[in-house]
Amino acid sequence: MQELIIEATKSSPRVHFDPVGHVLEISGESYPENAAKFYAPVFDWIGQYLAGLGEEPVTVNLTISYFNSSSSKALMNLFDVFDDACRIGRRITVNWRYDPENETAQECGEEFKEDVCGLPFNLVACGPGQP
Amino acid sequence: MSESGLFAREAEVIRKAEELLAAGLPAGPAAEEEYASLLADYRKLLNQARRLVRISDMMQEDLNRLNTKLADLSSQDGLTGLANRRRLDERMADEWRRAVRGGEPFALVMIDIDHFKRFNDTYGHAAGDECLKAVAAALAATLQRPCEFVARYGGEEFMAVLPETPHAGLLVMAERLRAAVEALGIPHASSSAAGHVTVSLGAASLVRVERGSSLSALCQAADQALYEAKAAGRNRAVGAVLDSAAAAGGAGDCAFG
Repeated sequence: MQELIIEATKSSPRVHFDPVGHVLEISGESYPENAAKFYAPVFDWIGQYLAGLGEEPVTVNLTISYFNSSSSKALMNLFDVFDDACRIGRRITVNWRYDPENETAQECGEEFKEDVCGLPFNLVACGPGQP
Repeated sequence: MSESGLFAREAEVIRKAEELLAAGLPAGPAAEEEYASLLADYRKLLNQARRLVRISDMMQEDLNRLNTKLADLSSQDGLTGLANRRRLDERMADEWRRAVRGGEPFALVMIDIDHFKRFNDTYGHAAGDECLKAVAAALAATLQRPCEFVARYGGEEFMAVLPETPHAGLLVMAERLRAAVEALGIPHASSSAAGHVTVSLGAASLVRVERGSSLSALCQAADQALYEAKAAGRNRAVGAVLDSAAAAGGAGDCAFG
């Protein structure tokens, strides 16, 4: 399976999914004109990836400082997919990374965290520009 | 994924509910189980919708705050923090419209730092900036009522807007503004007006603002009064009072200060 790389634009985040190291990263701001269209290849890739996934631990790093409503719905759907995968024994951990000065990013992370039940979901404070 | 793709699960719940409905009321354990599962899905999605709305509100609140901040920045003079020319024009027009409705008096004061170019040449531009800041703060601190304000009009020029101020009050106010700057005691060795920084002021008031009164005529009268204050030796205020038909011209220039 090939890695998925979508470069960031002004209104969409960078996506880098590595199926070998099992690290999936989305970072940047997300307010594309058509969020459904932007996230379609992301969900397609994840569907195929999960179908072939065994018990290897997977790390999902999300650093999204600003997103529009459609993007937040796409993220909800993404967490549902991971939540379902965890329920059948996959080992996925989500790290929601936020700048501690960005209170909204933190509170949004809390909303997402509370919405899942079986998916480990960490809120990770990290300074801007930190890897 | 189409737009509805984001809401595929919601669409699925509705499709199944319609199927159930078409088949009649739930009968038997299998149908009941399906119904219960639909309900659970609906609850989950409703919860998500609530979260999405909260998230959306938080993001919007951030944008609103940012919007307010940008609006403040774009209406402020960067150096002095006073209203800039753009804001002056907006706010003066607002106050003017209010005065037209109420048929109230309206007054303006044009304020110019005496020999500011010489001050810059003597003490340097950094000192010039400090001088502008100090003068701006002194002028702003002199105004008390919420409807009054002072703006940076241009380089070393300021304008005070004094709604609902009759002429006698205006003259008192102009003198206070002049005295407040003088009281700063900023040395100005190359000024012909005094050994410290001073201002000249041109004050103009309209007895009663009416429909058809001209704000630009009032501005011109203030400008003319400022010119007279400078011609009379600076560090003084000159006042002009206009009749309600401002465009028809004013009368009774009086010097003081």
